Amino acid sequence: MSARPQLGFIAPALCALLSVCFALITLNQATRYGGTQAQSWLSERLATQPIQGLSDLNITLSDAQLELKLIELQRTGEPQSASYLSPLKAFKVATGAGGTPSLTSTTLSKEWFDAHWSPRAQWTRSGEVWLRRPLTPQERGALGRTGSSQLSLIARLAPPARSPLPWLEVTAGVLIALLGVYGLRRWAYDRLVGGALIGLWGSVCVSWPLLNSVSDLQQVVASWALSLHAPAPTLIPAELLVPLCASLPWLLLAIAHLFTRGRPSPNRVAYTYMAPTLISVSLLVFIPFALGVALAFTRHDHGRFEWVGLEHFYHILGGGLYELSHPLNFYFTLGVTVLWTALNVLLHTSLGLSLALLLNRQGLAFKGLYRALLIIPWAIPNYITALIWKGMFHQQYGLINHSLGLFGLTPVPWMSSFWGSMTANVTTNTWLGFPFMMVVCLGALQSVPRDLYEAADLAGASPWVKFRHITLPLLIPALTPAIILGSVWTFNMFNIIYLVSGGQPNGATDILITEAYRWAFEQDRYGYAAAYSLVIFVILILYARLTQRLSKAAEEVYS
Amino acid sequence: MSDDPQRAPWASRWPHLILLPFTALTMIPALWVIKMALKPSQSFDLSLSPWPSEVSFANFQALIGEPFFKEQLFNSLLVSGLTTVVGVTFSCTAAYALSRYRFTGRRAALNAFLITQMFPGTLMMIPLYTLIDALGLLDQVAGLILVYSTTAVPFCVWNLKGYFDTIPREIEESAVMDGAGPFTLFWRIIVPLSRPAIAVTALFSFMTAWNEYILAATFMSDERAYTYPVKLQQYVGEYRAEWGLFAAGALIVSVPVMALFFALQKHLVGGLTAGGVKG
Amino acid sequence: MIKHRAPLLLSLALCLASLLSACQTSAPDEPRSIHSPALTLWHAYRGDEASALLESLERFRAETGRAVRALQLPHQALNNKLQAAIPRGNGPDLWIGAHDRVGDYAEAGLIEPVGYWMTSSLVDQYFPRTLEALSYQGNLYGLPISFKTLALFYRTDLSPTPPKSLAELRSIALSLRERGVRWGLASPELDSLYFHAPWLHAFGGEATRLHERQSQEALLNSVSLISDLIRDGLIPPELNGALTASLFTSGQLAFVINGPWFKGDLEGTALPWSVAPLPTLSDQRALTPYLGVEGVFISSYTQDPTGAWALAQSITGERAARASLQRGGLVAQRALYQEEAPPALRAWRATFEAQLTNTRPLSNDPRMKRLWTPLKRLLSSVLFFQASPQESLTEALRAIEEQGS
Repeated sequence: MSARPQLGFIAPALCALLSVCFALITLNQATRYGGTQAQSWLSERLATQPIQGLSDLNITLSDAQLELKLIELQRTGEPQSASYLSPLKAFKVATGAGGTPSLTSTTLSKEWFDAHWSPRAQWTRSGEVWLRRPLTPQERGALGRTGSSQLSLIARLAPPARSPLPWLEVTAGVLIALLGVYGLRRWAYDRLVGGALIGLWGSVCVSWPLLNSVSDLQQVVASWALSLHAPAPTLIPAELLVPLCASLPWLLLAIAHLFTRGRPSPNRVAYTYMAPTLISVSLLVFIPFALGVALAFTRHDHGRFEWVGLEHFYHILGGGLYELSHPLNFYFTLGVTVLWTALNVLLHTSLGLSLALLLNRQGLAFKGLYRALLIIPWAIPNYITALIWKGMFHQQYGLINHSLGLFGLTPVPWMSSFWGSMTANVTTNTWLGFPFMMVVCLGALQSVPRDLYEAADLAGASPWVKFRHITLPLLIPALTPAIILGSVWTFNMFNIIYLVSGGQPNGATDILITEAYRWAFEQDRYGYAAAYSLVIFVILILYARLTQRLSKAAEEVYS
Repeated sequence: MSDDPQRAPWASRWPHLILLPFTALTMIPALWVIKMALKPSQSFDLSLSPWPSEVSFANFQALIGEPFFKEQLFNSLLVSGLTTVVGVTFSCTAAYALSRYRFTGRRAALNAFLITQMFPGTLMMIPLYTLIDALGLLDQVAGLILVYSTTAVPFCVWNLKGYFDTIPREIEESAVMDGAGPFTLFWRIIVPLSRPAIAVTALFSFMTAWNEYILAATFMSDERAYTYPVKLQQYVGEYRAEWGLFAAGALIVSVPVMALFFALQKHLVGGLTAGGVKG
Repeated sequence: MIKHRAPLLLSLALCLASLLSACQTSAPDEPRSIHSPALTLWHAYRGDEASALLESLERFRAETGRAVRALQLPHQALNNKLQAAIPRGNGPDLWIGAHDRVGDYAEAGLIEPVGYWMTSSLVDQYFPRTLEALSYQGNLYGLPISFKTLALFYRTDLSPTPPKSLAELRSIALSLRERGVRWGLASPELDSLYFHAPWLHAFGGEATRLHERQSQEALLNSVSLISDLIRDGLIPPELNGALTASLFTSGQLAFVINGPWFKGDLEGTALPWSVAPLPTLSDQRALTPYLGVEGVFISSYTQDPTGAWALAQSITGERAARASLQRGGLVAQRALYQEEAPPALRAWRATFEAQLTNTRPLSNDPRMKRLWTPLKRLLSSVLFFQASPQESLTEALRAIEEQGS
């Protein structure tokens, strides 16, 4: 039994994973139905039904009561004088004789305001949602309320008395699961995979129309979400229920299969040992990652997300902010990033390795002191040291040009040219990064058995031969992770470029991650920034695949 | 064996010719930090000489006199210490499984760890916050520890796995013959032989948690629960920073790292050469 | 039939059970953010300012009985934390921040317009421009605590009276150069819109209106003026904040255009320095810097808007402002500037009060964010790398357009 690879659990795990990814890709719909995002749903509901007249102010949903009030904030006096004073007037929609709605106005009391004013989606005791949005100019015109006053629509959404379950989805999911499980006659590999595929694609086929269906379902889901009385967005939107239902029995079966065997199989031991790491990494890394992937297909605008598909990617890959002919376009920045990474990794590794070799020698005095001092660049927070380095590279008042002057060389205008700034960046990052590599190399050097060196000494080998044929081959498996990960980290190193050269001259030394951060933190455009990060991510994946193919040593690491 | 006595003076001294100047050059920026910490002025020092021009401990006194200084420093030590423990534990077990067992999903797991490092993390602040909030770990040390360990684990797993791979399997095979189970193999054979790599892992996990302030500031809502880097970053204001205080804080913050490194140094050498394990 | 029946049935049972538990309706219970007796306030103050704030919070507690929990944050982390925490109900009741994010907060629905509570007497208490800075689309969103703007710092030993015009400054600087003072004028960042704005505004342009011809011409004029000043050796070519401070304190720089935070760099030294309003350009056009206002904002998710409003009033009220003014802070309370100032602060207060009439509030419109990087690139390429101003302007305009899409 253990001769054949234990593939039985792959199918349900794959099923679950694909289902989750699939559901997350339609996150833009899902985000509407979570707790505080009921606000966006409601706003959109109101937006898709613009107010065209008084009768529109009476909107009721099936099972949920929606009450609308118009609130007018009026400014008294001219803007230069005592503006910012705004008594509240409320326009209530009353149903007059014959069922025709009419607009009557009252002034709201301060008490009413204090008791009811809940400007954003806020959960009250009875689970009501209160929302506010300003009326558009068109709506204002339709209601005959033109002028400079600030008109807002307050909506109160009360949940239905009885919260309906999404019976459709739950039933569909359970049926699909049973169907898949029924496909099992034996634990035969092919039937298992077949059953899993039926389960997966069945759930996809059933849930896809459900996900994209008409507003009735949206209402049902929204009121279900509202009835949960959760003040925070739920992490598991309703759409996930179908695939999760479909795949949960598979996952449980697989786990049961693993643990009900007699003797612990190698797989079981391995999974037990991997479990804590896998669980925490999946939870804390993959879920935000999946959300990030979903974000990349949306446009973010002040808390509202709008699905835009591949638009961001077209823009980025078409050169980004600059078109392809411009020197500063995306591909130029990509080239600069690759150059930056290559230089840094080369310097870190060679410096770290040389120092580790030197410090590993037998009988070297003050070894401990050297090691402790050389770790200082890593120990001090890099915010201050990066700025010190920047000061050292100042053309007129920096230490480096001053020292060059002492030796009679002409001072270099560091920050005025691309290569000067690049040198400054690389030097700073090398200073900051070599201690880490040194420590890793020191650790890795310990895995080289000393008797190999003794044998080589007896054979009369020179130090270089010893290094080349003993040290290096044995070090590479231990060093490769550090180099690969180090290059990934350097690729995404935002801090140093920002602090030292600031992207000068003129944005030439900016790297890709600087752009992504700029979009995220300067412009609050999280969707675009997420798309940028996804592009960076894909580039790095390709790089990893490339290194796997090119280097045999890396192959060994993976085997 | 040690070097031949006649070769000793030159052979054991020439590295100093390289190490001494290099270490001196490496120390220059650090000297500036010390200089700024010892000056009562709060401007960024741009003078040409890194030697301290005046010695005053006013900055250190001011730092120590800040409210909650001891609590915040202790929180930092606690968080980083536990991150180290959790990170080392998680990554040791995972690396053991990845190194010694061939199971399906192994390559996927290895790649997954690599992949986790590729997605720029700071952009995922808000989903991470939501997640931690949903788990109820906001404002708790456990939340921070969990996030930091998860950040540190991928490199640690890879590093340890690489090191475990170099340990010859014959050692384990002989133990298996004597009836040792997986845990005994792990705990009594692999771990003691991997002390250097574990020391590196521990130092790395510690550093991941130690200087980080953005996540700590976002997750914690009580000044008493802050870690020290959060407080340190407050000296960097919107328009200007108080460099004297920041430099002094930077020095205070570097000391535990150096201390940890000192403590781990003796583990950094050894491994296969210590304890007579020969094939 | 299936070999392992038990696990299968068990798993199906678990599946059903989890579904049912997720779907059950519980009785309506208290929302998570219960009305707590203490108000929470987040701020990024440090040192003296922080302790002064805590004092006024203590006073508030003594007077009204409401406790306030203040949380001190690093400045970089404040915005992040607000955006993450507030929508999830973990945010503060109030926070103290800069006015330029008001537009973003308002659009995102994070802050509460306070127009409802304002009275005309309250409106009269503050400088009107500070209130203008805190309002967005006609709604006032906070109360101003203090303001900051740029002024001219000079050394009284090098130049006993401050120059009133740029020509005067130039002649003083040239005569000082013969005495060994290398540089005449500096700002911490020449390529930042914030520090270039006084010149742009003096020529009649405005950064938010760069699509109009008038502002474009004004920008071209202002950069050419600064380029001339650099070329004449009046302004050092490569600058940063630390360098400006160090040149000024060591007597290598005669005049600095900087904000009130510069005082911190000068206080430790024994330098004789003073401030004056910014000089005018040759034809009486005033240099008009940006106005930055620090205000207290009320979260729109607060459970107790009335209490939060009372606290906001207390923080920006007369007593707290007077204490801050004594320490050299620039408060937004108008009447206090009429009071007698200690001699050390007389010039300080008078300068900034006078300069306030010649400022323009930094726009809090969310679209303002698009301007910073393209204009920084424009300024640095023209001023430092001698690029053609017209081409750089075209490129900057295109970049601004692109970002908006």
